[in-house]
Amino acid sequence: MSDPVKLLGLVTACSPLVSAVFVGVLLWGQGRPSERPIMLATRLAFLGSFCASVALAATVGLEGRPHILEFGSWYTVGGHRFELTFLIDRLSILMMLLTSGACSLIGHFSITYLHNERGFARFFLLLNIFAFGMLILVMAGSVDFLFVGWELVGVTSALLIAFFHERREPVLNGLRAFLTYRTCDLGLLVGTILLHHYAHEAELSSGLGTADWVSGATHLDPFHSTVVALLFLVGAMGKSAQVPFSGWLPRAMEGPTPSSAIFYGALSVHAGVYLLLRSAPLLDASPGASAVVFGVGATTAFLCTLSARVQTDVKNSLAFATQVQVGWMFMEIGLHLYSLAAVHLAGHACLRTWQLLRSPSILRDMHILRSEIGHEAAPHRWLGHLERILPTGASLRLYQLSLDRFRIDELVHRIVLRPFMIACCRLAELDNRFVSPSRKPQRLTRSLEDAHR
Amino acid sequence: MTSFTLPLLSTSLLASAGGVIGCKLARTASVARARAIASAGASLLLAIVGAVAFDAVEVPFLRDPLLPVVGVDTASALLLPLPAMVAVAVLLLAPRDTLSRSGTVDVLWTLGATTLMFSAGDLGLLTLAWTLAALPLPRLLDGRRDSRRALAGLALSALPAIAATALVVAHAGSVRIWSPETVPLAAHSQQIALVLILVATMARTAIVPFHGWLVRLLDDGFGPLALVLASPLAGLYVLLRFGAILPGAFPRDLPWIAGLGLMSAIAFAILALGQTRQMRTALYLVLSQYGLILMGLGETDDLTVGGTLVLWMSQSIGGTGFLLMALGVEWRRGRISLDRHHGLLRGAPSLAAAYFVFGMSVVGLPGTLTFVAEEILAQGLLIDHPWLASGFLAVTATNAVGFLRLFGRVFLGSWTAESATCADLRPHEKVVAFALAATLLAAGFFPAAILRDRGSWAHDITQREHEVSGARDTR
Repeated sequence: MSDPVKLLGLVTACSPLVSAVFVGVLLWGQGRPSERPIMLATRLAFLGSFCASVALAATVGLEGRPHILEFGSWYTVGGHRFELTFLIDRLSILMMLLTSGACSLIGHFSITYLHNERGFARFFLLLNIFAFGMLILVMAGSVDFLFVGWELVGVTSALLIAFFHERREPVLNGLRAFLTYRTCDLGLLVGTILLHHYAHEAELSSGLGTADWVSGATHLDPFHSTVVALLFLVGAMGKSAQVPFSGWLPRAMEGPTPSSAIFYGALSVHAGVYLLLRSAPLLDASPGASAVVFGVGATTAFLCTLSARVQTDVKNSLAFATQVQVGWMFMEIGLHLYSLAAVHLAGHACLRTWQLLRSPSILRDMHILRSEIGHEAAPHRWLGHLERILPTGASLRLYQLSLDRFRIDELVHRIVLRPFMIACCRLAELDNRFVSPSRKPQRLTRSLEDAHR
Repeated sequence: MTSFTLPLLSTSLLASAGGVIGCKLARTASVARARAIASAGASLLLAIVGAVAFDAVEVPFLRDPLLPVVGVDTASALLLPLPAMVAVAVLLLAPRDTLSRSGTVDVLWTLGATTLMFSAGDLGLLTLAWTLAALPLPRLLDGRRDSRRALAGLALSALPAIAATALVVAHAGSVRIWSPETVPLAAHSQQIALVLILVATMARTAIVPFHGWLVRLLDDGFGPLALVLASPLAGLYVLLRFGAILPGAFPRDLPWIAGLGLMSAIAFAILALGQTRQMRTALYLVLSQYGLILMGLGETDDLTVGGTLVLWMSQSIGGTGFLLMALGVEWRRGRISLDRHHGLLRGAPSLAAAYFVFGMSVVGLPGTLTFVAEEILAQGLLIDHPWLASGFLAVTATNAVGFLRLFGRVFLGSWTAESATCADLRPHEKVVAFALAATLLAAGFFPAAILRDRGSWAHDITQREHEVSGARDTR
């Protein structure tokens, strides 16, 4: 590797992958390996990644122009080339530093937090794969390559939600998150393919016109820009838990606190925002898509702020608060305030990570504070001053709806999931009769009950 | 140069035949199994050497010096190692009780016949080998409950192929497979031959509604043989070979072949979500991916066909590993119902890890070969056939969710005394599963070589289709 910038890029992205392979082989060979080598490998990988990203940021920052690091093509077939490129510009530097920094910090925190936990090695395996996926996502020079990181983040996220796998709820919640991801990822995938078709490439710099973030311009016409931007928006809504794909985020808090912090405080939940920031040239060319982005963000911010106000536990409150802030970021992007959204993203990621990491001890702190003050805090009005203006009936109705999370999950379930699962079960019954006519029909009702979840 | 320096393929066939005799003479099942592993291993080694040797020379085909009627060309060089690889994996990983002495004989018989089929240079020999491969099955299924439909399915995989071959041979005499020449057959006869061969292909590949035989074999404890017969996807190979001989019939009918494949993929994806039995869910997930392969072969551009050929390979290996792990779970814990969570992860972490990696390689986790294949397929499909592409994407998403649901039900959940009875993989199984998983992951990370070879075959296939379409348009 002759180019030092390339080497730094490679070390930043691939250190967690090397660590993941090491932990994976240990886990495969020993079942329950000692914590020490895992700890060392993870610390080294995250520290190496962070230092390399700082050096990369300094090098590229000093030159003051974006760098495209080319590592050849992953494969070529029938005129289609999958290029392995990193785009290092202001936006990716910000996200890269945030990702490697948050991973180092939370990796370090988790070593103590999960000490003697049965799934210690599994957690660090998934954390390393997540870090690799996230770094690929934010450093990728093409939407194709970004999609690889996007998928890895989705799978590890679902598996970490189900980390405490001996309880039923986390397992079901992990599946729910994965279902949402997979559905919305279709938007990103189709958008990527259409981008190939319209622009004849999927490079962020030339195909999307984002070489000089944020002043670049796309050469797609407004209609094509709108189509691709809206498809990317679907992908972003899933990953960033925006209405109506918002139900999974509060459920995702079943995972261990460090994973909640890194996924739903710092990084994963902002992946959608990052995608939209990268799509800035498309949104510039498409007022319609920008309006939809604004609308999605505004709706989520409004609904989730009300739901956040009626939560009774810390992690759920933080989950809804995160959705509100991400909704604001969507609104900022819809208004083309990209730099503001990027700063908002970085600030929010740091604050939320800190809050989530502190959440296990916050109740103890509250008790200490109360005993020091000597009295309970005054009960707060759930709608603040608005509660005085609204009629009591409307306020109560709104309160009930907020408690029910505006029945979004229920509606999605009733309109989409349940009918689909019923159709699946009926077809399976028919198939069983066809394949094994003499055998007792299977009891499929339980599957229908599961469809409720 | 038209032949190998060494008789690689005839030695490979001899190894299978020797293995069959050796297993028949073995006194115990474990001795038979050891002999079968040696025989299948030798076949695998020879097939790989043959493929590499063919790759090194730039000729359209190479014959075996001892048996000139067998050899390799671009297509068969890529596929020859598959049946042996599947057989080795099955012999090493299949639960002990599922492979009796006669079971190993059947596996080797099927391996030998499939190898002969992939290396046959003559249409008659190909059809004979295709029929011989399924020969042990009627004996196994005879007299078992619900076997009638399964036997009918198997008959449908053989008889139409024989009829189509007879039709072609009656007009053209002996038909060469390598560097084929168009058979002078009337258009309507070509159509009839195509329909016959399509029925045979669908039946052997277990496409809806011809999947009953495979389900029955797995339900009745003949999983290893079922995998050796179904996993190399020999039916699709026969379809492609007939496509080369009867090009007049193919281009016109490709859209409905693609449609049949997609319908099957959708049906199995839905059935996998509705099933309450672990083994069937796993099987239907794999069959759904087979449907996608048939769909891709119905297309006419390099990108789609190239992606399909890669998917063929990844599903063949990944699907075998996944179904073997599913069989392993059933063998350890009995029939698993998906009504509840079974929590097997704590007691069998290696089994869970292998199950997860193979399952994810079936549904296309990034880093596996299936991910690459599906990405290429989607690129190829979306622009020219948006409806097919929509269905394809929906199937991949549904299968991924179906797999994660399956994995959750089997391995996650509370730890009970019942789940403690599930033993983990044994050391030698861990090594084999690791090697297979590593192969899939390595191929996914470095797919360039695999794609290059399949790309040239894909180009051959689509080139021929375009030539025929062009000739017809000119007329």
